[in-house]
Amino acid sequence: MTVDDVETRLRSTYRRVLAQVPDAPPPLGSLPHRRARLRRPAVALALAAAVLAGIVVAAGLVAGRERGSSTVNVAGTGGGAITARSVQAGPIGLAGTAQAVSCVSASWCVAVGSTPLNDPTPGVNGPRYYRGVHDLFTGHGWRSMPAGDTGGLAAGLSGVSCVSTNWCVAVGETTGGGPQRTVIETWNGKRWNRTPSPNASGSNTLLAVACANHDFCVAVGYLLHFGTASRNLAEVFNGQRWTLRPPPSPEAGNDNLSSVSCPTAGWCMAVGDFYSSTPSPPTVDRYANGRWSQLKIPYLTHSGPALAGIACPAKEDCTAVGTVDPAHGLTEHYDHGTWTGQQASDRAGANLEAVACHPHRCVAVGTTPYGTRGQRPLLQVLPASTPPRQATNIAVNAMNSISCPTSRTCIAVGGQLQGTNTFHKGIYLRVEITAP
Amino acid sequence: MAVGVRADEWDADSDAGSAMSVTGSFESTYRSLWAPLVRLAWAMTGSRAVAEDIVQEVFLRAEPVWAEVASPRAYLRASVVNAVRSRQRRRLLELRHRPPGREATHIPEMDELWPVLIRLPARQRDALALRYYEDLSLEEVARLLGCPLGTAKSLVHRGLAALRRELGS
Repeated sequence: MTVDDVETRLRSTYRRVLAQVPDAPPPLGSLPHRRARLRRPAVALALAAAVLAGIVVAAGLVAGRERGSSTVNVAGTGGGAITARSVQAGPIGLAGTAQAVSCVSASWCVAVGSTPLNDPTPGVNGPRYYRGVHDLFTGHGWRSMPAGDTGGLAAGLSGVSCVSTNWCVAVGETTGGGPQRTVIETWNGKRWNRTPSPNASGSNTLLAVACANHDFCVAVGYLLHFGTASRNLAEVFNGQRWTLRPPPSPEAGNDNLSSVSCPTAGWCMAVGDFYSSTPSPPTVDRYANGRWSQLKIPYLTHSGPALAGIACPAKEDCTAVGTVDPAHGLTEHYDHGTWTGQQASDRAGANLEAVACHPHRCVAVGTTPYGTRGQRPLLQVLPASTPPRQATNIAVNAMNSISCPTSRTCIAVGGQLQGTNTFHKGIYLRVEITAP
Repeated sequence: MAVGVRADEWDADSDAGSAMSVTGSFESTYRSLWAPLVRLAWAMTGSRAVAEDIVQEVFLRAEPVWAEVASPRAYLRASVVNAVRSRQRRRLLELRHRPPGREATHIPEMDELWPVLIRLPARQRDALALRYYEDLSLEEVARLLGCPLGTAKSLVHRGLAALRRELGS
């Protein structure tokens, strides 16, 4: 059975099963809570007023706090702390979500993401076309970076890697109709320009990129052949051009590379997830000596392990983060040929999405449920001596990426729901580590 | 009674003029969107009863702030997704403190794929419902689930792979 068959079958199942719901709703007055309100209008009004007043006060407090900082203590590190402070949102924040960030210094970072091309009001089925956007942080806030010739194609950007203030690479995919094609854009110090990138047959998506220097980058993602499972996709830049260099993918199963790190030219580690008919460890591929090799990672007793982010401060020294079902944070460490893993959090619903490292210390970021509604950033210093810590006063919908230009300063990016609306705005956190 | 179950019924609502315009009344929106929202919640939770409770709660919560809602469709859909995910988190916490057992869930016998679908991990089931019932783009799925684009893609593809494996066995 092909993927197309499954998709068709799934749509048919939804159609048949969900048809049991009648179009006509029960009368509004029949809703239990509403009936109670109708019977006791005065009480209801008083309660509603009290609730609304509470909401207003709470919202004011939250809004006020979000302009400040959220400090969470990290036990076991000599009394130090992580301070996460939201900073002025960039232009991506108009209607989009920041997907990735790369910092050259504490005062020079680039974030990329996408924003709906059409009216920011989500369409009936959501916007189909996106425009890749780039934000620049210079220490005084975020601003939009000038876009050059991007070929006029609608595109979403998911990954970025900067080597210097004059050279960055961003990757993504075309959006809209037809098979997706890879998108690679290069920053030359003045503007972003679309760079020719190869595509394999099928739907091509690049999710992440890592550059060791101006002459060596690797971008990873996945390839969806029509009617088959997904396969790993990787492209290598040699200083002149990008070429397809896909890692091996097992025949039976779905492979997907989500993140890559290249501490030196010619050596990278990429992670993702793999799903087949049997429980499977996450995907880990190492690029060395011009070729990819699959690495064994200890199988976890938890189901559905998926690695979403990796950072290698040095060759043979990597930390990867991700999730195991049903949504618990997962960390894995690679040291000269050996992977060791652990579940990082017993918080139900917690996800670790990205990690950034300096020698001997990494910071992972993700999200965790907060109360019965919403999510909050989840931060963890690795190697883990304590469970991840929650920045409880910063509301987020997604924390997607982190970059640490110094051992004590990181910038994390993501997205945030806006009030009663469903539009998102980019959220940018400055994370300070004061642990010794 | 005509029963439409595809996500494009939202299109029909939007074409109904004032019923789904920005200034549409709460009552008219309730009449037109109750069924699509229950179907979405059912696809995500696997339980029609739970879905109806969730949608009822969403409408009750929405009514006091209705005047501030700029885009009813998008607002209610996001509210349903959030409510479903909140319930899933509560369920996870409950299950950790309860002996293992099968959850009593109504499984329509008319479709063999349905029981497989509702046994998927919640995040994969949510992603599939938004992608293939709501017909949302992966970017929108990522936004609503609050995860990076790559994670949303991974959830959809792993969900499809699980279904394919079950159907093929």
